[in-house]
Amino acid sequence: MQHIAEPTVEQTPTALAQSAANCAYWLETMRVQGGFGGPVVHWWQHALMFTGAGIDWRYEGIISGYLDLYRASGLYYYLDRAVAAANDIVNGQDEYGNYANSQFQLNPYTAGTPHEAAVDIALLNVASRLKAEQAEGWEGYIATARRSIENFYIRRLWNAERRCFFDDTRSITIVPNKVATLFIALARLSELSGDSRYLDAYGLPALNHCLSLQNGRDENRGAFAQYIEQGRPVNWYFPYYNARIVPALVLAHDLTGNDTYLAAAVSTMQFILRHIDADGGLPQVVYADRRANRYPRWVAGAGDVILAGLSLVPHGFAFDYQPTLDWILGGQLESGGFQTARGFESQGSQKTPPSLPHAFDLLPVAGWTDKRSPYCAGCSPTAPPSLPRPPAR
Amino acid sequence: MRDCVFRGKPARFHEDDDVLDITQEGAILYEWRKGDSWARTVSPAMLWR
Repeated sequence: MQHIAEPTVEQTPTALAQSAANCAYWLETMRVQGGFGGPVVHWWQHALMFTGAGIDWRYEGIISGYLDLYRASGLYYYLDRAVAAANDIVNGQDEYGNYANSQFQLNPYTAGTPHEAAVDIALLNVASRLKAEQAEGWEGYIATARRSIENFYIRRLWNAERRCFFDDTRSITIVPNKVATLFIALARLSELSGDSRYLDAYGLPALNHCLSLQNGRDENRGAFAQYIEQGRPVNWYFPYYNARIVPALVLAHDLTGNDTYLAAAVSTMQFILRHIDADGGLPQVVYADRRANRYPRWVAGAGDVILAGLSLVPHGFAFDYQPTLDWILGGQLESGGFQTARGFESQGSQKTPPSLPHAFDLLPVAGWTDKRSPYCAGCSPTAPPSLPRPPAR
Repeated sequence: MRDCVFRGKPARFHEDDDVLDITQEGAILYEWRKGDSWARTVSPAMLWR
């Protein structure tokens, strides 16, 4: 397999478990009233002044990480943390079904995409786990996710003519990676509610619409454009955001048996691997004219690339996640959080970043650090039976 | 405490359980007291594009 690099970080199961426990400890330091807070840095914009609880995509990875740690360790501490995080979400839902401060880099505003769908996935994952544990209260999390999907996504963003979800109520822009996140939420809701309408009437048609726009012709074949505006793809290809599409396509294949989805997922993953650097990082965006805007390269966020590759492994796809795992683990800070990126100093310039990191590179963000979570379980199949518990504060 | 750069000049990043701050030439560029819903200090330079 390509892109082999020498591991740079000690990765015994114990070291991985300690890393995960340290991160769980750090997350507790990010608690504010109502949930997980802290500043946000991003490609487009930063939210530095508002540091309150953001009920956005951070909850997808936070809860997934807690559930993975629970499965790996059997410690109820982590299941309790997952439930507490789910309760943040329930308490953060307004009368319209939207969540408080769900715009991430644009916070504090509501109705963020794909954030509210990612939050719904988090809720549904908790409901599924509690149901499997025969614990009480799991139905309430499904009801909250259903309100979000019915009242916001279906009522406000569904376009019956295009048979897809738009990213705005004026039906101008479709964002494939956001549709992919929503697809997973719809599929999970169908599974847990027993109502196949979410998958069949909304999820699959929306995913099919995006699939029809997958690049199949040039060096970016397999990639999805960042968005489609008034029917025309805008050919900016973010490898990171393409990674978020792959698990949805794999799930669509698994649910329908349609190999078209699997072939599309493999093609997208191959696009990502063609662009991954030897150190495991990814360029920020590549364009149709072969230009690239390399910086910043996400560190914690690269966990979504591992998640994408791992989703294909059961289907025979060979994926060496080690360089990207090294890349992520090399960015863990003394606090237990993960640095967000490398190269913010060179954003837009293409100059080689200086040897010292930019201040925004180091700034750990709950909504990026959560995405390092795949290694909690997916990369540590020999996880020890008991994880170190975070020290008392 | 970690050495870093901000707008091409040396800066320092610090985080512990209670605070996250960025300083440059002795001045606080950014300070968030953990637990607060708003940052205590955000220098204009942090917000410039």
